Amino acid sequence: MTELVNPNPTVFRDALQHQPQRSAEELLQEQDESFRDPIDSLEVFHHIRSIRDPEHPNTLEELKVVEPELIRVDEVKQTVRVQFTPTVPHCSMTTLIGLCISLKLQRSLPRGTKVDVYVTPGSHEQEEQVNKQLNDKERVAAALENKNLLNVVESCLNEFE
Amino acid sequence: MPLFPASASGNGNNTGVAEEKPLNLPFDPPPLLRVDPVAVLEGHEDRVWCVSWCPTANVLASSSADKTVKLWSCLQHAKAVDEQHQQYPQKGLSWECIHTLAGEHSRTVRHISWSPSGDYIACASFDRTATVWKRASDDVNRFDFELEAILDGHESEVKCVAWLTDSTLATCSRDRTVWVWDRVDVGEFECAGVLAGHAQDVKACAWIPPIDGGAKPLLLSCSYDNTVKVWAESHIRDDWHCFQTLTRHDETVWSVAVQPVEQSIETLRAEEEEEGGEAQPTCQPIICCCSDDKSVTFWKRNAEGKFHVIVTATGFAERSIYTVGWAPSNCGAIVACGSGDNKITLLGLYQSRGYNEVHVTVLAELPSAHEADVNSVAFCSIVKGALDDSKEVVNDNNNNSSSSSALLLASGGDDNMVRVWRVARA
Repeated sequence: MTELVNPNPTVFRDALQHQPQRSAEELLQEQDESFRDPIDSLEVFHHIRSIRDPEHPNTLEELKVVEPELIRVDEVKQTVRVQFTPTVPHCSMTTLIGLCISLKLQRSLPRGTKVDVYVTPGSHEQEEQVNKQLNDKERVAAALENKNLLNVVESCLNEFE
Repeated sequence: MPLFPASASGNGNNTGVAEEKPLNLPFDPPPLLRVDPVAVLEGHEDRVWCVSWCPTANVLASSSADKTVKLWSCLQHAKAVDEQHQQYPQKGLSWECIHTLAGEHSRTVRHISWSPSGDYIACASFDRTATVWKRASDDVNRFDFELEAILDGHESEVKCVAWLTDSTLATCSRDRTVWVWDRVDVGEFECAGVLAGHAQDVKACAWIPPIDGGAKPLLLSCSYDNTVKVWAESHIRDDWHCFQTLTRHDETVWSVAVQPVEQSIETLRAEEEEEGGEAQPTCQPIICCCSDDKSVTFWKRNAEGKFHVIVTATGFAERSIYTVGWAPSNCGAIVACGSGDNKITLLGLYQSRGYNEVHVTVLAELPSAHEADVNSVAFCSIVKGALDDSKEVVNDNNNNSSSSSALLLASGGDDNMVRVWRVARA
């Protein structure tokens, strides 16, 4: 790819300095092994914050593609809904970023958890098309059987070395 | 549960035009059902996409993202006749994998279909091909299959395959097309038509067999473009065209199923007694579709042959409905639905006396049928007599008789499991 989809992304360095903190009560509960550890939006955010942007040496958190406020967890229904915000409205990497988030959460969250990934409303020109693709589990499964695409996704999921 | 019955159009002003065929529906609300677990079939290493029963034997096929198809059968152990097992006869029966079709597909096997004779299995795969497998043995009790043909032509993943006869089948794909194939020789198939018209990924296809002598079959396909298309072959052989597009669903239509309308011997006898041998007009099959929009729609044809909605079922599923399957016709008009909320729901249809109205109601619910999405449900078509009453179930246990009269339902899910259920009156 010779031309960047988004040559000048805004990087939010401060994100590294202001990580969300859990309350003291929450920290205590984490120490109690008998207490069932429910999924919450901070945990989900922790799983996806370090996914790399396909084009730039920055994380989705640094580019504000993912934010904890855009994650909803329904513990009773075991459902997680993630909204992500592409860096530009015409971003052609959007579906790929959505796939990365989806695969990462499938691997990290308890089996059977329902994961719904959506573009933040109003943030992308082809919002409806992207959302429909990302939430068609058959097409997601078929896409991830494509080895070239899977390699790209895996490279985005791997931590910086 | 909100239901939206739609009045069927009457025949009042169609003098001289062909009459609308009646529906094979009871006039009374069907009884509630109970669904009991019979077996959990483990063996697949990835999600199970499709389950399908052999039409001529109690053999179940399942296909998976692990690239294989497994055949399962219920084996009765010779040592089942001892005192302990008399009280729990089901412990003497076990479902086992009797054959695995493997090595031919390099990606997910998305769908499987048995030919009407049970002699062939067709598989649809994400590797862009469909395969046809033929039974290798004439032994009625052996189910060994060997590869007969590879159907190559689609440009992307093949999503579904459906036999019309032992010599004709259809396939559909993410390349937006539906293909019809004819067997021209042993191991050789020819493309009889490429049906283009869907704007997106085609999820499933199904045949409506010809009802009257001389009539031609219709082919249905449903799609990511939210529509169902009805395809007909014109007078010129192999000239397929889109006869109608059904637009009702707001999201992807995942599956389409055609009601079996073969009348049972009991029904025929009853009719002969009532009407002194006068034959009833042939019933038309109801078409059933399920969707990402969490609804199931039912369709019939009017006097001009056009399809229209007769009733819609909503409110019972919390996520996408991926699969629908009809029960055998002598069990009543029952449909099983599988959804992304891990649930199996049984719906029953009936019609009003005197008015052209059709109603749908929930007969049974299995909220946690699987530990993940339910991708496929299928009723075994081999069942003796009507649905058992609960009391009869008790009698069966006491008499240590086999479960030959049980109505069996199979399901496959994202939890890698195939499950077998027994359906009876509550």
